[in-house]
Amino acid sequence: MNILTNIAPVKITLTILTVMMLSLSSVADAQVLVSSGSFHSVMPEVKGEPVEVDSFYLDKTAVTNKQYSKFLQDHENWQPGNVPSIFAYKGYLKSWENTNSDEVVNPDQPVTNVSWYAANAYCQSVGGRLPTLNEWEYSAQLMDFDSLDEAREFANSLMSWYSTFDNENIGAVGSTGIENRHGVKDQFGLIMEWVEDFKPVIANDLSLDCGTVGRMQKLGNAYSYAASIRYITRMSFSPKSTNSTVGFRCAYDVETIEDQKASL
Amino acid sequence: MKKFYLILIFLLTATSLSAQHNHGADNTLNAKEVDSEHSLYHLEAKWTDHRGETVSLADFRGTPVIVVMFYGNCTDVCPILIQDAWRLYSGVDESLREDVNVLAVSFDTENDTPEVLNNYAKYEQLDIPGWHFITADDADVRTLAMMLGVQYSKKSDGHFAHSNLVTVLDEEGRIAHRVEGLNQPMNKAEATIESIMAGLNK
Amino acid sequence: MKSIKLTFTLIIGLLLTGITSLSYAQTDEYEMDGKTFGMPEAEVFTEDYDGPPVVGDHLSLLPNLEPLDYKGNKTHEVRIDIIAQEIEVADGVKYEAWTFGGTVPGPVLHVREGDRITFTMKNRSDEEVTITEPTKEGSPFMQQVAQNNYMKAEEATMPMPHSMDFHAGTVAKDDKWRTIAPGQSIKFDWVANYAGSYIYHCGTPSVLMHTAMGQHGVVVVSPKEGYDTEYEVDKEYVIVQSEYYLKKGSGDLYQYDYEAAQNRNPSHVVFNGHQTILHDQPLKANAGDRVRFHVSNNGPSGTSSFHVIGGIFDRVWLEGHPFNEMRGMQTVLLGASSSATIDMIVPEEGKYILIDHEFADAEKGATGTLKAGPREK
Repeated sequence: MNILTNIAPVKITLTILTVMMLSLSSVADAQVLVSSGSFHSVMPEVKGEPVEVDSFYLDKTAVTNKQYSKFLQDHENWQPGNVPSIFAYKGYLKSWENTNSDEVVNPDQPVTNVSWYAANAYCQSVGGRLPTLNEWEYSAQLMDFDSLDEAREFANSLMSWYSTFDNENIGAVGSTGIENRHGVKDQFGLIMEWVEDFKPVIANDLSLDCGTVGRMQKLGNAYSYAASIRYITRMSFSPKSTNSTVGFRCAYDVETIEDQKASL
Repeated sequence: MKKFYLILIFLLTATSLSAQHNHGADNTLNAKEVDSEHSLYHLEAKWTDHRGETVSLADFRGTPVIVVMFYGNCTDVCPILIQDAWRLYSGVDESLREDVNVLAVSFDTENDTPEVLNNYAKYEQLDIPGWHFITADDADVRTLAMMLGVQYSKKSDGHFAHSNLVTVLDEEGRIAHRVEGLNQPMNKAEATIESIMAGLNK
Repeated sequence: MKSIKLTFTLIIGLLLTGITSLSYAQTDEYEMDGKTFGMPEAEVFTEDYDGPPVVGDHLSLLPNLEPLDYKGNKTHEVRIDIIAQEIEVADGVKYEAWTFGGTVPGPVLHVREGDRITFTMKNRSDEEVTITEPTKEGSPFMQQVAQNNYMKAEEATMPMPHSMDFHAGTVAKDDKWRTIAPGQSIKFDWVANYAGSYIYHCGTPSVLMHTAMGQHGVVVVSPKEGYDTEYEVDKEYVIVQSEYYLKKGSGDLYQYDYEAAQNRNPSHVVFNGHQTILHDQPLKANAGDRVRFHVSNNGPSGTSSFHVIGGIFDRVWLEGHPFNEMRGMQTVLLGASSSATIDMIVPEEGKYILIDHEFADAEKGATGTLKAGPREK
């Protein structure tokens, strides 16, 4: 099982499940608990020690155009045209023709062309927050595979995906069939996602150096290579960046969701 | 032998300090480039100051503002950072100083409650008019940090790695001057504040 | 106020101040050995620019080299924007390239030793940019590519962070070669201090991926006094060797093959970006001509043993520097990001094959044709 431990050290294994897209029946089902654990980041805080992550709730899917348009109805200051340029580049929501919820184009696709500021404001408005970088990455690698070959193939496909997004044909959320063991969907294969601290602690040191990928490739395999590409891409963004391939999902403190459930 | 030991310690200290500053190692993060053309007062968040009052950034419109981001449990670097803000504030001509505001913003939203900040202000002997130790929602603190170009990140020991940055905002809340690093000369920042004041008093 | 604390602070402060101010110092411009160092700090900004992606008088499409139609030194205002572009690299093999200016390799910049370049670059990787419409604006490169769209370039988008590393420049990389996000622009100056042919490439990690995806090109810096020859050359061409690491994707397009790139097993090794371009569009000369090749191996990972079948290199200047003269070479070995300026006498009418004499590379495409007409002189 050498290779498997390589790809997913400690007790974490990678897995891909072919899963039917589930419709989100209620708000409470829209988030899942990602239970605490640890993982080897390509950039651990302390060398050699896994990163510890506390339990948190995460949206099963990325925020959709439809959800975002609802947010705009209640938050006029985030409508295109109203957003001060300190919060977003000009490409903000550039693919949107209107912001009327009934006529949202591609309602089930993830919203993209949103800046970090916008994503942060959205999550705040629904009582959540953007996931931290470590939370997002921890969740992303909680996957189980049937075989080593499958795991390796998946990791290789990530590299192809990071070289050529088909950003003109982004599918609906939940459509990738990629899901972690808690039911968090599409962390790969659909869009890239904002995280709260997208420029992590040692971003300055790492982001601009040719040797970075080598140093980040601690696990020495395609999965960690793809991860390094993702880290580097993300940390190079400006919080005002509005990319056609970048959207987000929200995370929630455990207490927030438990309180919500208790009040129902 | 003892001498050698001391020299070694000194060398280690010097190396680690220089590493921090050149490469943003464990605790010191370089500040990021920022948008200085637009007002930070677009951020509509509500803040609570160490006096327990609710304030918004736009309340400070019309005066130059010194902003510094820190956290209360930080005992090594942050006092220097606060001291830097004080050096800048006290360096401004006395006749102008009462129109200058200082915002010391904590990013430790968990521990730095208004009460804790109040104690901090008192301990630092900075519970004085014009000085505001403030805190808000995580999301709003993070947003302000992004706008200022301050990086911070919580470490597993509860401390934060963060940029050391003193920012001067003009009367409209635009970034007018930034001083990065600790114990930097403040004369340019002082001049910036004085020229903002001169513009206002015309 | 706070006197004890202040003392403590001052001590720490003394330790920190020197170090900090050092790391943020900007070196003032100075001269050494007739070379200019100490460029102003690069500027990262956003702009509404949506014009031609390549601007400047001395930028051309391979294998062309724009002549230096001025005396002495000048400052070049150069723009090379980053755009994604779907291009063909071999018959039926198309992929979404990451490019400087829309082609792989990017435009050839020609300057003179001692010239200053004010360089602007916008990361337009998330923007559809057309390079095939005829335009009077921009640079000769834009007209040349509109007239000769051999790579069948089509608009594409693939937002990624990118940067520019000119090997011809002598600057601090953490300033000038900074990575910029899609939508951002960077502007900086550099001086072409050394004569020769130098590659440029994206330096954003993964550098292997970024260069293999197409982000590289060449700057030809002609020596101030020219090369020390008793003759003039009749023809001048630029040839760039590079590798692609591609595999068939799910649709019609090919995609980056991570494993092949890691294992240095290219799918295609090509001259001037396409497997057959230098056969379908052979270089031209006549018998008795002295032809000058500026040959650069842009890698990312391979070497090139550059040879011309039927010719011997009369003069070779390694890296293109006039001091590095060699004579009578059959093959020039070029490591990744290495170049040579080569003069060759075209012996007689007929066909000459440019080739990477590492035959595994040649059979993956690294060949081209020089077609010689009759002797005119």
